[in-house]
Amino acid sequence: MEIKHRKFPRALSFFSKLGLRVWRLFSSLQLAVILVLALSAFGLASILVIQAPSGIAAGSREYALWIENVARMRFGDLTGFMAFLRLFDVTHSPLFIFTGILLAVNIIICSVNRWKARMGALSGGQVRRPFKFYQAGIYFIHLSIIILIAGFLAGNYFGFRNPSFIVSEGMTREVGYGTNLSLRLESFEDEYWADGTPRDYRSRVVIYEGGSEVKRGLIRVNEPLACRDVRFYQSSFGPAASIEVRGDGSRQLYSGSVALPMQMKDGPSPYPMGIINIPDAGLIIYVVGSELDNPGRGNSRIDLGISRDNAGSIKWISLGRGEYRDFEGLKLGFTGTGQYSGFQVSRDPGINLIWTGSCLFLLGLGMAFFFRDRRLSAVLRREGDGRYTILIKPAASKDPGADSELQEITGALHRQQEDS
Amino acid sequence: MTGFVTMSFLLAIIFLGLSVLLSACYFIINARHAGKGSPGTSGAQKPVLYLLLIAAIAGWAFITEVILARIIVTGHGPFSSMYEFSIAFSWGIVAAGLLLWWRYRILALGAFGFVLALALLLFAGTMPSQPSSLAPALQQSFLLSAHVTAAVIAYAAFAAGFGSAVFYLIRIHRTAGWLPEPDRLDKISYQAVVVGFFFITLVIVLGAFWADIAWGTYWSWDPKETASLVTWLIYAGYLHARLMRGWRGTKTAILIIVGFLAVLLTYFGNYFFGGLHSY
Repeated sequence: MEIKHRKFPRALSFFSKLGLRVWRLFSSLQLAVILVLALSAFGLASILVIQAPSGIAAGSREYALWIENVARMRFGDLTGFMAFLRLFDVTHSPLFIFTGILLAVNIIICSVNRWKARMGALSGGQVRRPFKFYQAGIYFIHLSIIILIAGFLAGNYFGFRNPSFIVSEGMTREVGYGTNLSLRLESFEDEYWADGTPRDYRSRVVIYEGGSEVKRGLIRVNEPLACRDVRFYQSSFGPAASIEVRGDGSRQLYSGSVALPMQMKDGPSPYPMGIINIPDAGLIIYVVGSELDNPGRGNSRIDLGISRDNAGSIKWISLGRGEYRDFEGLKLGFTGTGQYSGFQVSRDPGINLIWTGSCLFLLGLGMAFFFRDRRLSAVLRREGDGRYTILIKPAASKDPGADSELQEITGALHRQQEDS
Repeated sequence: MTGFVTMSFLLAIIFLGLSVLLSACYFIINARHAGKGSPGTSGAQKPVLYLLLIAAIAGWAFITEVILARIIVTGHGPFSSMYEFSIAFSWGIVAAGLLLWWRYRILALGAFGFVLALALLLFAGTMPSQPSSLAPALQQSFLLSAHVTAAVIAYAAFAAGFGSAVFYLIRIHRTAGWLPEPDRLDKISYQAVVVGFFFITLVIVLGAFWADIAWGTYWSWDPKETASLVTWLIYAGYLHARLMRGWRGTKTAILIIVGFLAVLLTYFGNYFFGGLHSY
């Protein structure tokens, strides 16, 4: 509802006038339209322009690498300008968030104005109107939008989401993000349809908090596991290789299953690849599954690329399943194959606001549009010749559906008059 | 069963095509006789009218057969591929067209729906019809069926609104005996959008709920999600303009047409933009 422009009383201070101007600005339906159009434009931009993968925060090293290696390949010299406008991460850009906040403020102020106008209309001794679905529905709709925006912002700023939490069979990994939780993948199973596409994949896991087991369960697509306020979703899976690395005096530097979630292109087909990072020994070992078959079969082969102390050069050796080899003071072994399970781990403090807002919105829509009340004003006027004229019109000047009801009422009145 | 489904599919196309042809005949006869009666009820065209309605109902019945047979074969609602969804969408549009005829006795709106539905069936016919294996994310029968059913109703309602808006723009520029008064078309388009808006909101909410269960996030700015949100925003803008500003007529008709273009972008967008819905 808009407040018509009025001149300011001279007694108002500068700040009062400023406040009134701001209030009038945010009372504007045109502003709401502009903000909605702006949000739509942001949305379209996020579809038409390639977006950075979720989980990569703008300003991070991974984001810069993605810009250089992916975005620049497509947009060339325009990349810098587009990155400045945050076109590659539209939905996390400050401008997008700010536009959403402005819209929420706009809705709140319009709702307050509408409420004040209705309360004002009830003054002067009028009969208090009973509860009307339509009016309550309108408030529910707008309140729900504010709740949804709050839920979205709360989730974005106070929660976290890790879309690639990868754990190999038999391994334990800390969740991080201050949760004090870690997850151990006890086993992973996958099933396939006759055409080779995945039918089901599920992970048996144990959740630890501070080292103590707190939950044990099965995670599969459509069946996440919740622990405290953190949720674990089955996201992906792939091959893993069991590697053993020993240093001087057979000191064990690493022993366990390495997930191979990345891909290395060398030839017609990419190879699955993973990385072992042993900072204490200054070692980075790239594990490439050059010939990986189903787990348990004997003819698997991997290539290990060893890099020491960020030397820049990588030296490669090849190992068959069950094979050990000495290499420059290290003893490297490929003991077997397995699988890894990829999870999405998230905490979203705004999720309950999202569902509350969604249900309230649907309820409000139903109330506003399918239980619409309609007010008519009638005036009885005595004419000079002693006859009476009844004038009937919709109370709301912009009531698109009142015509048929007016015709019904006037028709009924005419029939009554004829009968009498 | 495959032969039965194929036969039913072909019969659906034939009968819908027949209803479209008969509709064209009806309007040609109407135009030659200067359409003196109220639209769609002229006595001279009654046999043609009854035949085309019977053909449309038969076409709709055969589409229903295809859908039911598909459910029996696959064990889930026919919503897991563009082939299945196109058939479901055409079912909804024919139903909307018949409903509009029954409610308003305006044949033009019904015929418009039959043309759209036929186009969708022909589009479905170009796609692989073999039932595909259901990916793990789609193995949530209730949400899959509820989410896509709501989409069918929403898109059908928006198609009805689109048809009314287009006919409104025709009607205000020329006298056409086969169309009602512009105000009536304007009102029908509004009512159709109200129904469509409720159901597209339900689509988005159910989709978000399902995405949260399956993928761990209720909103991932997937192209289809974003396009549906843009569609929702356009229709929300239309409702605000109509209810708050009293917009009627040409301005609202254009908004409805723009909204339906957004619906088409949402429907076909996964072919161009990929994303989580690209299966």
